[in-house]
Amino acid sequence: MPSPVPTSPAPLPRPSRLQVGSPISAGNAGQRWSSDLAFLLGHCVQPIVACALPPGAKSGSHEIAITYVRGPAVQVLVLSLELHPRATFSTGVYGTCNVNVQVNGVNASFVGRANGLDGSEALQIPRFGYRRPRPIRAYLDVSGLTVGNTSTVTLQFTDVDSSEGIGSVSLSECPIAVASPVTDPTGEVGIDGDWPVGGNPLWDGGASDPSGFPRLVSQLGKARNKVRRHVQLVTLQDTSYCWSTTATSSGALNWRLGSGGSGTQDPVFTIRPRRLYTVNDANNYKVHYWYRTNAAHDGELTFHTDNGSTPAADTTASLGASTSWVRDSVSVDIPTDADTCTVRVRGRTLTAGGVLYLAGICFVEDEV
Amino acid sequence: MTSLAGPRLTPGRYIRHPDDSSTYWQDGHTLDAGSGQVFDSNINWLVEQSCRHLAMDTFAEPGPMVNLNSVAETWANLSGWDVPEAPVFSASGPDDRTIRVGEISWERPFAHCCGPFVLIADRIVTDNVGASLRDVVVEIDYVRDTAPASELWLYAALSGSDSPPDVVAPWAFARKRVSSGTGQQQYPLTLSVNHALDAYADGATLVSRPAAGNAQVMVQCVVGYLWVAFVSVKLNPTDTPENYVYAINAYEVR
Repeated sequence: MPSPVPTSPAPLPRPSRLQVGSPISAGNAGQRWSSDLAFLLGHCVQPIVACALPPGAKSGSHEIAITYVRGPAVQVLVLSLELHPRATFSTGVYGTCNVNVQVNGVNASFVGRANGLDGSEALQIPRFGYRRPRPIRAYLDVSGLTVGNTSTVTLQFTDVDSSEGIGSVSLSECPIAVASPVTDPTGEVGIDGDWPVGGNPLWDGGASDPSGFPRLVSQLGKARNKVRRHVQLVTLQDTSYCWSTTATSSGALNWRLGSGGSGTQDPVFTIRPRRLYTVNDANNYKVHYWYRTNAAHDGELTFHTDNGSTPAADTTASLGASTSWVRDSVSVDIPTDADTCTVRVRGRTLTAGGVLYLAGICFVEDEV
Repeated sequence: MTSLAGPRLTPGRYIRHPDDSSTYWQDGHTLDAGSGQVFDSNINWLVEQSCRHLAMDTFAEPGPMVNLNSVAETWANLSGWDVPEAPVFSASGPDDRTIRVGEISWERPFAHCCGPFVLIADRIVTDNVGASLRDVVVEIDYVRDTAPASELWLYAALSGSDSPPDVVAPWAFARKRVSSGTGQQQYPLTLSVNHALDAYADGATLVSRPAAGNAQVMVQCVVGYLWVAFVSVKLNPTDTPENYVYAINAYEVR
């Protein structure tokens, strides 16, 4: 029997018969567990990225790579992107482009209409002078991705006629309305809703059963370490528009936030950690980053964390030279003895004359 | 209690236990109440800690904002950008969001709209019956120029619509006038929806599955949009201060 996935934690009464030494009741305790685990796994899904992109890619093509680690219940992602507007249109200038979405290097599978995001249609860019966003929205089928594996959603942009590039992108997991652990215990989340109903025995069952204590523990584990926050910022994989540094000592990057996109800036990003255990146990993250170099010059990235309580710490990642865009990752601990933690991303090239380019950073929870 | 998360054992944290492959859970006996309390507390702790990160963003465009009390001059150096409406600030008077969302025109490039986000209503509100959306904190990392002197006005709104907040009233609105401090600073704007949502008026439908099978394809949920904007103001008509918003991070709290 499919189990409904609630949109909030269960407003059920707290269990009243949990007396130590006695067998547990099948009454409201089991119902709460089933309901709240379904909420945690099926409805409390994660936003993946939501950011604006710099204008300027007026011709040619470029890619934007989004890192994604699939959550245990997620079947579909909702993708929403805007195209940069254009001020003037003259006779014969139409302002069109193509956008194709790929998942792990393969054309994406859409649920319903692709709305042109499969590259099959020339997309018309909007004209200046509007205020309400004009997003192009489509749903991506990610049910075939392995839960917990790192994937890449790529936006491939190609100018057709005087367009201005992608203006903003938002990607978010979609919640599910019901779970079907009985029909698919392996692929579906949650617990058989019949199991904890009062009057039914709370049996222990086996690891692959849709109910029982092992099932309860496995779903609890997924809610703890397979539901992963994403904290992500992306930009164009184009050396003219991405973030960069030519310095040989570690410092702020050119984030293209200054006048004319020049200079260096040192933005402070804020992460609110999920405190699972004590204040001495960090929230484990893995930060994925897309980078390239201008030639055979290695680079280095430093992630500086500071929450004002735990001593500030640097995590350094060595970046091997690569003249094509590659993704790598390093583990970063976010301390939990304060409500929030600031992060600065700094970098350098190891050789004079080298340039380190960066086109995406994505902090993904990595609890074990 | 500020949320629908249930009670937790003291001290509040996730209590470690054998994993699902352990024979501890498969001995043919009923579950004892002590283990049940651990289950219950752990689930409630995960609910309590389930607030999410919504957005990480920068204002990559247009770079610094200068000279805003001379609008045409301000925007003339932003090649291609339309000239926005001049802001009309109300530094004093009632803190009425219906007035203050209209202070600025919420036009690009100094306003961003992020989303859609699936929002969750599990925060107990005291001035109404029921639960409301989790608060959203918008942490803004900015640089204020003090030589020459200037002000920076920061705005954020949480809305059920992607229409600008002065067109469709947002669920929550906050702003900050930065007139002191120098250099790079951070300020959190907290968006708090202090009324229970109307499940019919505030709901939306998203696709949840690629095919029906044994489950529904569509899902009902609360979908929201986050608007963030900033305006820079020079205090002397002849000055050219440069103010920046470097980074925006938005996350849920209760």
